[in-house]
Amino acid sequence: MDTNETITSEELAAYMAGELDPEQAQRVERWAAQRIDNAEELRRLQETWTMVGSADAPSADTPDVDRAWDRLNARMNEAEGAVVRPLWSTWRTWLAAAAMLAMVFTAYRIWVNVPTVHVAQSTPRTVLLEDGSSVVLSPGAQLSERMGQHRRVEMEGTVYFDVRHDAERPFEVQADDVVVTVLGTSFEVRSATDTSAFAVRVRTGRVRVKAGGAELVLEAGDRARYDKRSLLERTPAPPAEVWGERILQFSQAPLSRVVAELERMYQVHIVLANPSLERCQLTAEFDDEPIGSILQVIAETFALELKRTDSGDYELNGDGC
Amino acid sequence: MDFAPIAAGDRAAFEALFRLHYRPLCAFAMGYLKDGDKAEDLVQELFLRLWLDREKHGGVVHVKAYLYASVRNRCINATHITRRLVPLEDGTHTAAEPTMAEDEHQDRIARVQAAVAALPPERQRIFVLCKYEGLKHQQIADRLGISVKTVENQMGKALKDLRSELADLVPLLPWLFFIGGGDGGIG
Repeated sequence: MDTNETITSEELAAYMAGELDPEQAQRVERWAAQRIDNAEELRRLQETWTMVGSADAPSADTPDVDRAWDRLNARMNEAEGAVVRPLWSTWRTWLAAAAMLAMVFTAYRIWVNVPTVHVAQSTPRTVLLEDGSSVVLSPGAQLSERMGQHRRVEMEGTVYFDVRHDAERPFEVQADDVVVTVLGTSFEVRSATDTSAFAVRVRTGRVRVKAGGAELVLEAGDRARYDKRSLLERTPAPPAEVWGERILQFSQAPLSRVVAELERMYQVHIVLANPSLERCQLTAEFDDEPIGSILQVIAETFALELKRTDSGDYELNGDGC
Repeated sequence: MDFAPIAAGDRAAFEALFRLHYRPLCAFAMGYLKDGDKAEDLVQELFLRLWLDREKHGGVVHVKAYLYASVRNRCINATHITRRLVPLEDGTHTAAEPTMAEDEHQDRIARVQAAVAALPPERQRIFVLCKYEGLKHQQIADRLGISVKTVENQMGKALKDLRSELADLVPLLPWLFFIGGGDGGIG
């Protein structure tokens, strides 16, 4: 008899579940008989296995952690924003002091035009600016806005802009020594201070980029790159682009690439049943739509059949391109 | 994980703590309350209080143990208020004391549910199909479109996770106190 049986945790689990054939099961029992530690381990596993069986299966609708966090976050903000009511005898004093402080603060802000700063830490953040434009800050990005006669923002990191049209007040983005000027459009700026690398890409409308004495006008679909060593240059757009948090844009993108982007963004698994489907080229834009309807559009575009498998995956099938 | 960064106001650390424990804690609360919405509300309420009173909790070292103990206390408070009311013949209510054994049993059930809910989603799905729905490894592999090898592997890991998570609930054998039972590791 082999006096040195080794047993893996897979085998032990299979033993508990009754998945081992008699010979394999005997091997586990021999292992347990070898040493008191092994016997104890087997006993503990058996106890655990039985104990787990005494509870109900976890309920099928497990809580949605993202939604739960949003809810908690809102309550945290609400609770922290609530002013603690001061004592009756002093509340008037407090109120007067607060009003005074607010007035001084506002006057000071108007006078020196103090910028408002927005920062995104570990998750992307969507911010509505004072002029009604909206921006999406990628993790680590920072932006300060100064809205007066001119709309000026300074930024660092990756920021997507959806600028509200206002011909009277041009919108100016400064990232290090690059300035992007627009009237109303949507575009993204990436700027890394440590490497001085800078990139801008335009989704709609037109923007003007000034850097190192050079100037370029970019239109929808254009992108440009700049760093201290090279000149400002226009580069071709890739077939798949993501804007902000949930806007996807494809321009003659092969379906394999489309599927890869969708899987990443929606955390789903999509199967292309026929390899020739990978060659289909898609040109489309999806603005924060549910994954099911995006795939429906794709299926209709290429006359494919969309199915959901038992395990919840999506499957596209058809003749291909 | 200690509570110091959160006590100092680190929101990202608090979010990480919440995301790590939310599901298992809800499952734990479910063991007492038998109502998913009530369980979620109770856990939400606990985290909200924890954040608002974070400065008072700077000294908490075993955060996980603290969370479970707090949820348990809240659940017991919530259930004892309703459970103790037993209808009398004249239509009024009276209090019924739960026995110690009942409480202990409920604690165990809640701990088990939390431990299963704490398994990573894929592993949990496989484990539930095997243990609670009684499917064979081959059937699970077919249903989820994965290999039998993966099922075996995940089941091994699940059992190992549960064993260490629930270790304190498994009774020791008396003779082990004399021999000094070592921890027979499994590979």
